[in-house]
Amino acid sequence: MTRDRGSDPSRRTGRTLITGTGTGTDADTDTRPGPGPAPGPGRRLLLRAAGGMGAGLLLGACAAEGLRTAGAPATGLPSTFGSPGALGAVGGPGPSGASGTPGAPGAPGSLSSPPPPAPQSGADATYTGDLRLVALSAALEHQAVGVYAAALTTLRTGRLGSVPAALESFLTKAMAQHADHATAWNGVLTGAGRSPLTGVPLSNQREVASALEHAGHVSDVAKLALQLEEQAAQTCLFAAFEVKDPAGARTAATVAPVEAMHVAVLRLLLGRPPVPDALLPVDRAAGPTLLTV
Amino acid sequence: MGRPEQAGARWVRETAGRPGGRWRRPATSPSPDVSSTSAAARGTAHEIAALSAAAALENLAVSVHRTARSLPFVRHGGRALTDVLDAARRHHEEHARRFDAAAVRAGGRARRGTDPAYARPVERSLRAVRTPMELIKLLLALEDLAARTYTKDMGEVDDPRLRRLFGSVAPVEAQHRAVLLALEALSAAGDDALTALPTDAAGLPASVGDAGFPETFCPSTPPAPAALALPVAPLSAGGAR
Repeated sequence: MTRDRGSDPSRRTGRTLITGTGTGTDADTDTRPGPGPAPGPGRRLLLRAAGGMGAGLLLGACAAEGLRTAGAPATGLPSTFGSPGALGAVGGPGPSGASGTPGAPGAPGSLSSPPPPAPQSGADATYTGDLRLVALSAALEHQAVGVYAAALTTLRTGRLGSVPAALESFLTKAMAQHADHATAWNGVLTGAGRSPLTGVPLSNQREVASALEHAGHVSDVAKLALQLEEQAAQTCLFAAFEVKDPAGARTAATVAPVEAMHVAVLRLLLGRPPVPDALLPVDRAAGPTLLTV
Repeated sequence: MGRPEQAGARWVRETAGRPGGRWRRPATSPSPDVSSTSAAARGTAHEIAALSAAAALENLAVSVHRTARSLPFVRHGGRALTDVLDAARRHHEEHARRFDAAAVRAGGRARRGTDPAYARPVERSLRAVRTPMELIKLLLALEDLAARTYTKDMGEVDDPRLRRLFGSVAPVEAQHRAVLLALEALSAAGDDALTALPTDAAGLPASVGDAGFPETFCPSTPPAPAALALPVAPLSAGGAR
């Protein structure tokens, strides 16, 4: 695997395709492993961090925790997710094509929704083998939809300052695509005779919601979105490698590039080299045990 | 689901073969060195042909990026485009090496050249481009062709290592396309200050945020070569550039 980092002119010189004003800080730097960017006055973000919230390592840590966890956590979504107004009411315009989609804003699985139902005792609601990766992918899509809906609501309050139009348009369109992806993943599940996945049965949901709730600047939201997108892209890619079911493999193969495009655009908006790797890695893919059903 | 001992597998099952068994991350997680096919694993004719065709596409992309870098409006233009060209060229070079290595290990040969069916319209288009926008459109067509082709290939090869190779490259071509689409949106905004470095973040048009991913699913039907014959402006008399 070649990671085109050190040789990237924009990285080497500290320049970025789109930069903001001000000076770079640690919070601006890429949290990916490997040699970091050379510090320099040009290493600036389009969206500046007001404070480090540590979201950069959040998802990876949660994924690792999910990998280490033997069983599914007994709890569903933490109670804070159901606190009306904690992140602003989750709602707003639903993504196109997502009406009735589980996990769409306002539907079960959005941040303000109640916890998803406990898995039923029958095999219909259990996800094993290939279908566990499919269900995990569906849950990640639901998580992104819920987070983006809540993020848009928060951003529009003005609490985080002026919101770049490009970030708002990104969140809006990406949310719609994630909802459509979730529908496709659930189609794979139902095609295999399983129940569609509902809600966000992920063990890191509490941390993700907390990161959004504690965002102090629009760049915090963008960084959280980048973490979600990287995880979704790499999880889809891993699913494309591993899932043998034709419908599942096809879905994974056609979704992964789109999630990767989301990553590239967010990195561009954040002033980072948009395409750092010659081959998309899977080191940030979610582990199957992140799924709690 | 892949077995734990598969090369490049990110997770392994602690209880191999038991559905729903626990998973764990290996102590060391090797990158999916998808080109390291053992000599014993010979590919099918279709797989070797797909690898050869992919290498030819990458060779074409490398050639176009090199030529584009020498165009006057690129050499004397903004840094954003040259950075994109340089980074993408390096990626395409790496992809070509990966596809060639996989083809050789599968019993085929490295592909040194391009596919004339694609190269001819691309070369014609490249000779005719006169503006960054026209160049971006040509590069977009190339990246789209590559992403679609490899997405299709991924579904047509049986060797899991080749699936990994095609699967790992396709999203990167899609990312190249996303960046080009964003640059195109920036250029279309008509504000030179935005394409300069550094730009005014708050002034970025909304289109930069959502232009980079036009489709919800990556198509897996490669376009015909004619799609690479772009409707660029005709050359002026003499055609000198």
